[in-house]
Amino acid sequence: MSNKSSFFTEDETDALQELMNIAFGKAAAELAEIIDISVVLSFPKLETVKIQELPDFISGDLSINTKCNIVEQTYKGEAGGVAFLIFPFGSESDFLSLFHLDEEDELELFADADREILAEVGNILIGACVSKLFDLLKSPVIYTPPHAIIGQEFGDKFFKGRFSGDDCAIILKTSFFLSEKSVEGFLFLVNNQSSVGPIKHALAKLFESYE
Amino acid sequence: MKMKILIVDDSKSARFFLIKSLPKDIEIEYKECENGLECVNIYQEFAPDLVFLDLTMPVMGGEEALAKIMQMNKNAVVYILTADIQRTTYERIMALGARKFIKKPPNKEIIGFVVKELADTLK
Amino acid sequence: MNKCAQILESINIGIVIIDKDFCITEWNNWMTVYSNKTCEDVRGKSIFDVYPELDKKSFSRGCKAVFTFGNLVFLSSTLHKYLFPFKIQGSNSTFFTHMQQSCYLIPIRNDDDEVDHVMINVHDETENAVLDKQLKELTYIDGLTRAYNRRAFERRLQEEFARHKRTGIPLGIIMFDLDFFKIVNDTYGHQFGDKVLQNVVSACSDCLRTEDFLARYGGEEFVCLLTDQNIDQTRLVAERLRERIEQMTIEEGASSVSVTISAGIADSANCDNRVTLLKMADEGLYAAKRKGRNRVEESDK
Repeated sequence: MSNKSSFFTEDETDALQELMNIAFGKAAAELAEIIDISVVLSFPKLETVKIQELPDFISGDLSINTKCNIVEQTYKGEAGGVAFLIFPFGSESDFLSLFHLDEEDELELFADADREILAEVGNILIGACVSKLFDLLKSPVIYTPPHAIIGQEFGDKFFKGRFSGDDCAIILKTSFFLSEKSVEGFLFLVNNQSSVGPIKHALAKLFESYE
Repeated sequence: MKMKILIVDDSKSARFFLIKSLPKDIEIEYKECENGLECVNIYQEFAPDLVFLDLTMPVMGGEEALAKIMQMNKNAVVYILTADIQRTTYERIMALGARKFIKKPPNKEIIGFVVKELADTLK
Repeated sequence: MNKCAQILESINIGIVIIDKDFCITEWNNWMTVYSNKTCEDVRGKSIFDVYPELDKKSFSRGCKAVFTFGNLVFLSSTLHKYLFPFKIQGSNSTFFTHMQQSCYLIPIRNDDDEVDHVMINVHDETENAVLDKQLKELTYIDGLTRAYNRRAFERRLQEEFARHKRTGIPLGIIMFDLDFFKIVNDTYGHQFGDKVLQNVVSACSDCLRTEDFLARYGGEEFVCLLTDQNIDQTRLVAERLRERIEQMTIEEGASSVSVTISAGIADSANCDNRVTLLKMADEGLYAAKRKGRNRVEESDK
């Protein structure tokens, strides 16, 4: 289904994975400091997929049931894209206890806070990973507010209007492990074809800086 | 006297970044390998003065390789170069006998400094 | 005044800018209106000196994230209610004491592209929060008795049972029903029947703790969830309710009417799931009816 990253040369793919590895390692260490939780990130992978195949690709990759909790967030810049943070459906109650609120914030009955807390936590997790990666690439991005969805299937609708049908997506993928509560999730950064140029350029500059 | 360095990382770019960061003003002979097993196999024969070792690698990871090297040579000099910079990892690795724990990405200043520092003790 | 300054002063959101030491560098007109502090009053001061209330986990965590990652942090009014304690005046003060706010923490970069300031945007969400509160009331409160409705009960039961599973803290339940209510209705009319239901609810509420959850399950049937109460404690509460209702009289013209309740009780001790818990209480209720009414029983199955 996924043709091995055809936009990037083997060396570029290797370099990009190495950068993700470094970026997510930094992100994990800093997250541990900020949210008081140890975060384990798996070795990141880079893949290229046709847009039409993307929902199947992502849901096929999830070892969790079809319904999931999703945080989506767009980042804009030369190499802008969309980040999807995906957790199993049912994990939302763990989040409430994991990321305790301020003591004085007593929640009202039926506050529907699950979605909000997922968005808030997701925002920090996504921000950490994305910012560290694009810092290394020296290609700054800015973020739009996150959007959290509880208990839905991951489908076409997440890509509507964002990508055109023939586009290819570059997927940067890692899995999350919030160890204390053993909540496992996946992070997908989906960039469309137009960011290939800027990413190649940034990689070339990085290699040059070592010469 | 040439200084012998073994560079262990599954990522070609990571090895490239490290090699380019090595100091130019001392004589260095280096070898590269892609995982812990290759590293352990090559270690006896090459007898490096210094090993730069990554942690997350296929076949055999850096942690296991480090333990095996320390078994072979308790005075081995191994510098860990990794993206995993969480405190728990650091403590575990240092307990195994690694001399230094360096954060990726490497740069000329840090790599130059630690290599020359060691070179001085070898003279 | 240049255009940017005019925008800053006239925009309908609060804008505060702080540096890495949390000292205020900007404070727009909107903030002055609600805080009664001018930019001159607060500039250069630590935001925690101006508002000690901001010294809490969510805010400092958010600022740290913005400085470290350069991302945008959102503090929702649902979770945090408000950041700046601005007292509400006027009609909405019956709903909330303070202006409900959603806030953004936004990175501001210097010429070297480093984040060296955070901009706080404050949006007034009080209108929405009031509407939300009213909507929740329509959704979850029984219009006649002001007790919670069945929909609310189902949701609460699910949450409480999950909590019990997680923590092992017991959960008690009382299911009760007015004895011979049909006769009351037929004799005195439905309006009087409604009055009886309302009186029963207010009498029960007087006997319950604030954390107990009373809902109208349907018709003249009610259900009550008691957090952290085992079967013996639940029985005591149920007996208290039964006695209280028995002693209550409701006046109708020259006559005064008394009603009684039959109650079934259960606790979470031997229940795998919430359906069983409800079923046990229901069986208890039928046992109470069978054994002559105006009494409290457990399931005898």
